[in-house]
Amino acid sequence: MPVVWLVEDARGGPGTQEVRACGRALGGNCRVARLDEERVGPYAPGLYAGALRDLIAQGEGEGEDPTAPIVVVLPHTYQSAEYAPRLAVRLGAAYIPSVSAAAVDDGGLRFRRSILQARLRADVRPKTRAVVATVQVGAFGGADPAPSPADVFEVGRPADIEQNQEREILGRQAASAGGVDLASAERIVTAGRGVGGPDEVSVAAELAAALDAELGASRPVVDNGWLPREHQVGSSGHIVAPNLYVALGVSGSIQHVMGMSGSRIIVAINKDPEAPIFSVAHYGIVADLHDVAPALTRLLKARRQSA
Amino acid sequence: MREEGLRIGVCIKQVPDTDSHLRIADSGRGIDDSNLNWVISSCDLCALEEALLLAEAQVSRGAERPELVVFSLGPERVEEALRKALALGVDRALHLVDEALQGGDAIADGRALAAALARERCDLVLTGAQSDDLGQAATPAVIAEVLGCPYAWLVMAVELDSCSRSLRIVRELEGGMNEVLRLELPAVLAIQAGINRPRFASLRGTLQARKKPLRREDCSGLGVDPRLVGTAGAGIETEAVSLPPAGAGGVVIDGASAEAAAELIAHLEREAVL
Ligand SMILES: Cc1cc2nc3c(=O)[nH]c(=O)nc-3n(C[C@H](O)[C@H](O)[C@H](O)COP(=O)(O)OP(=O)(O)OC[C@H]3O[C@@H](n4cnc5c(N)ncnc54)[C@H](O)[C@@H]3O)c2cc1C
Ligand SMILES: Nc1ncnc2c1ncn2[C@@H]1O[C@H](COP(=O)(O)O)[C@@H](O)[C@H]1O
Repeated sequence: MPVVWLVEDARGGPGTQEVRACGRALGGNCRVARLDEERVGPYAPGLYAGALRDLIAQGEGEGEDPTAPIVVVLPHTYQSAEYAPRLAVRLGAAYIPSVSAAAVDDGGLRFRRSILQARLRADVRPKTRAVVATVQVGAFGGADPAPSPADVFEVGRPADIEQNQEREILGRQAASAGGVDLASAERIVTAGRGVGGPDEVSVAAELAAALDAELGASRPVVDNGWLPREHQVGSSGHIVAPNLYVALGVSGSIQHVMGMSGSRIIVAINKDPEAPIFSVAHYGIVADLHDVAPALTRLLKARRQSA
Repeated sequence: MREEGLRIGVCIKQVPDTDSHLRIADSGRGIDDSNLNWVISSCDLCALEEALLLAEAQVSRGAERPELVVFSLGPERVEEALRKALALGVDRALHLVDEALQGGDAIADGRALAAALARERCDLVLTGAQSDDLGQAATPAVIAEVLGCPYAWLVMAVELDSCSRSLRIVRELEGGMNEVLRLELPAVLAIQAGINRPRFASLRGTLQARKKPLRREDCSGLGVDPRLVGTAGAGIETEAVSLPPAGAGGVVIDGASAEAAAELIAHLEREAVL
């Protein structure tokens, strides 16, 4: 049975349930490494990697099977995914990022993760005794509430605190000006990269108008400057849960789905039948959005006039 | 401060075009790479653009223009990606090409790249935040760890002060927030998509690129132990790749667009969302 370290933030934070669910999937011989900023110091990647390395390396040889695999599980948040690879290098461990499933079988440990922008998934096995894995927040199978394991270890300051000087935090700021109320919208029509260009965003905007919906965007649409940042839905944009979510030319990457999977009814229009968005959609149309979206807009306008 | 100007290294990865049709290889352990269109990973184009912008900003401030060096680890085909970077305005290129370097994961590739970056004594290393194929979001962190220098992931703005040898950067956080950080050189920054709009190569740039230096380097040239890189140095092994399950119980609507649209509206009326 592997020894599983679950890295938990003392303040809670996203991914705690998924980390615990992963621990359970791996057999449940779990210990918690509790990270408290008050104790370890303000976050910096090298500092946190060093602090965890010290605790985990210390935990070895306490009468445990010296060949038992060691798994360190963290949430794939913007903070822990930043330093987890550095921890893996320091532990001489394999690194397996953003896993959506984990298991122990005859072949040892097995993890599943998405590759090629969620178009395929890969089952991977570590070749080393120790593994650092991060768990995809909001996408780990069976993430029902699990009790916190009993063995809790507080992470202390690392022996080598020089690394603490690696960054100075100057401040925080909002990424966009705001002004688009996606969070409380009843309906959202989102333009994905598949709309094709800045001039074609109007296809989505016209459908949104016909539906009385707000206009959303996937990240590339914003990155390309086709729509302002405040329209972005996803892990680095708005988390939304409208009654109706219509995704036009959106492939369905994990970061996008994290932002909209709580919607009541999800409609996807995409020309690729294998696009991952169809696995979260309640209704899917496999077609060119430039044919279907204008047809929908026309019918909705006619419907409104006859009402 | 050093006598010579700063040197910026940019790591780029060549990946299958996101729009290519993917076929699982007969081995079931990867994709069939025979009929793919290969491009520079999208965030890496932003890293290249950011390096060019930093160089231009130094010049307009009257400072010496930093030297820009592009690095890529991969098979022969990668040379095309390096030539493209040279055409965009990078000064020279290093191709890490060796049978023993193939098949690595973030840790193996990060080690090899770190060795090359250290040899070239880069003051600042820019990479993409996450590759479009493996999406490990880890190679630059491994590079920083091996080089023992500061690191930031998901960088959305960079200002370089060559006098104090420091950086002021904006890093993305969850939920539409950013943080502003100060780092000292040498440092590794993983650039997030959206930081800039990558330029296109000019005809002149493409012609000039042919004459710019492109060096090939193998394990012995890099001074890395072949057991620590490539397949041998990778900590993970891919057992199988598969397609995600299709439509988890969703309704698929077929037919010509007008019919499909009408059918969708009927469904939405029944669901009481219209
Ligand atoms: C740390 C991090 C944070 C991120 N945060 C976010 C985020 O908050 N939000 C977000 O959206 N992304 C985010 N991303 C990016 C994410 O990984 C994907 O790259 C992105 O979601 C893809 O957007 P897309 O689906 O619009 O484009 P693509 O993946 O390029 O998909 C386009 C789709 O359009 C379809 N299509 C093309 N033409 C047509 C047509 N004529 N008719 C119908 N369909 C068509 C294609 O089949 C394809 O499925 C983040 C990435 C990282 C690394
Ligand atoms: N083989 C490679 N050659 C050069 N750079 C790479 C390579 N693999 C990864 N990188 C860099 O590391 C970034 C993150 O890759 P990854 O860790 O695979 O998500 C990429 O965007 C590149 O900038």
